[in-house]
Amino acid sequence: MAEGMENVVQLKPEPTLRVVERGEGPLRDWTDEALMLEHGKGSEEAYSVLVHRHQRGVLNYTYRMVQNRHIAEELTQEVFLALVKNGARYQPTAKFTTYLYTIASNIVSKEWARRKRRPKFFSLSSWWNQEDDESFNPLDHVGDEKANVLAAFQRGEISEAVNEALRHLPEHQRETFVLRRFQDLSYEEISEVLEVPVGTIKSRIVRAERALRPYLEKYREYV
Amino acid sequence: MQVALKIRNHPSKQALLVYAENMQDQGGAIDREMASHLRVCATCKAEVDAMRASLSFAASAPELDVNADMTARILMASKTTRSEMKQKATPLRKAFKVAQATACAAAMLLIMGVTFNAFLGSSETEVTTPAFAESVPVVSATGRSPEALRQATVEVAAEVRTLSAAVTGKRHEAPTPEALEEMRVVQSRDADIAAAMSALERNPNSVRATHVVHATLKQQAESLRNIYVEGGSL
Ligand SMILES: [Zn+2]
Repeated sequence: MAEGMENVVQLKPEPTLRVVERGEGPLRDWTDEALMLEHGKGSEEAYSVLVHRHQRGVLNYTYRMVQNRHIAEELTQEVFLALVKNGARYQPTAKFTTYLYTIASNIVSKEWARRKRRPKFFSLSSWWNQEDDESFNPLDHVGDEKANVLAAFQRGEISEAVNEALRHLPEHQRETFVLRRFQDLSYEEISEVLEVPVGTIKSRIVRAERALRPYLEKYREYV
Repeated sequence: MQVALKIRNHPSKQALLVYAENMQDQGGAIDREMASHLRVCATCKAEVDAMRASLSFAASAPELDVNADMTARILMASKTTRSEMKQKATPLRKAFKVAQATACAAAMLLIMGVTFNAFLGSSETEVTTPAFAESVPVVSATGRSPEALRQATVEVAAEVRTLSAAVTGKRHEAPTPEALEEMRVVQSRDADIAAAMSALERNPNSVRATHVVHATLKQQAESLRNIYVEGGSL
């Protein structure tokens, strides 16, 4: 029943090329798509603008998915290297962010698959938690300009609380919820990234919210 | 209680969630119909409130900040990848394009082959193998009947197309210098094929033009086979 929505048939329109105006003025004012086309022609500057514009989003997406900053940084680098490798073949058939998060989603899936192949005696929970990571510092998780350490720590708790709650979601629900609520992708974009109908995306968000609710309530009382 | 009884249709959970999101996110459109439902339905109102609470709690989690090291690492790695790709890909991409062009020319010939067959009539198209074509009575200077020659040309074109695809499919592996050299020959021969083909297009019944196309394609197939089998891979 829960996954019944997966079978909803939705006719997807054939991808059509988006009209991309060549950018004008300084590169930082160009649209993502125009920058990507320019990068495809070999412009390192255009690529650098894209990296600066989207690295934070990709980092936070991968972080919410794998919950380890170091691995999230490595995956973020992989995502942007994939842009280099595929740059010349890029066709603006969708919004650039859709393209970017499709790559990111594939890279995260591979990471999950790698984890599943790990031998059982390798404790998954110790791997998930950063306790074994000596360089881990909760204060890295919040803006460093905040003078009030206590307040910063509390905000760190919220981040951990949310991560803890997300951990209880099945992979596809977690991914859908993160793309929607943390990366601000529209339902249509998520549908394209994950290649499932919009209706399925909505029902996943509903189920994810339902599953998260008790955890989030618990932490809300605590904080 | 009376109010609750009046409500026949509650909005779906999905609709409630979208509403909660729009309330939560600045600038979201507010559904008036839903708003008036929530004014009279405590059940849905409670659900929307709970949803909003979870959403706002999730949204309150701070984001990770990017540190300059990560950006530097990404840009550095991209530079390395870029130059590696340039070094490796230049001859490869060229060879790949050549193979594609050859495949394209062969495909065009196949289309022409259909024209041949239509021209010859369906009974003639039973000549399907080169072996059988050899046995067709010799009526031309090239040792075949024009029909058999055309048929053989169509077949060798198909062969070139298959071989081109096979060679193209191996482009991820490292080519030998011999393979690259042979590919240059293939590339220059494409021009000969194109010229012969346009001659044939101008005069589809020309046995001589057909013969030139046939002979050149045969050489092309031979080269591609060498590249595929012996010359390493592209
Ligand atoms: Zn209701």
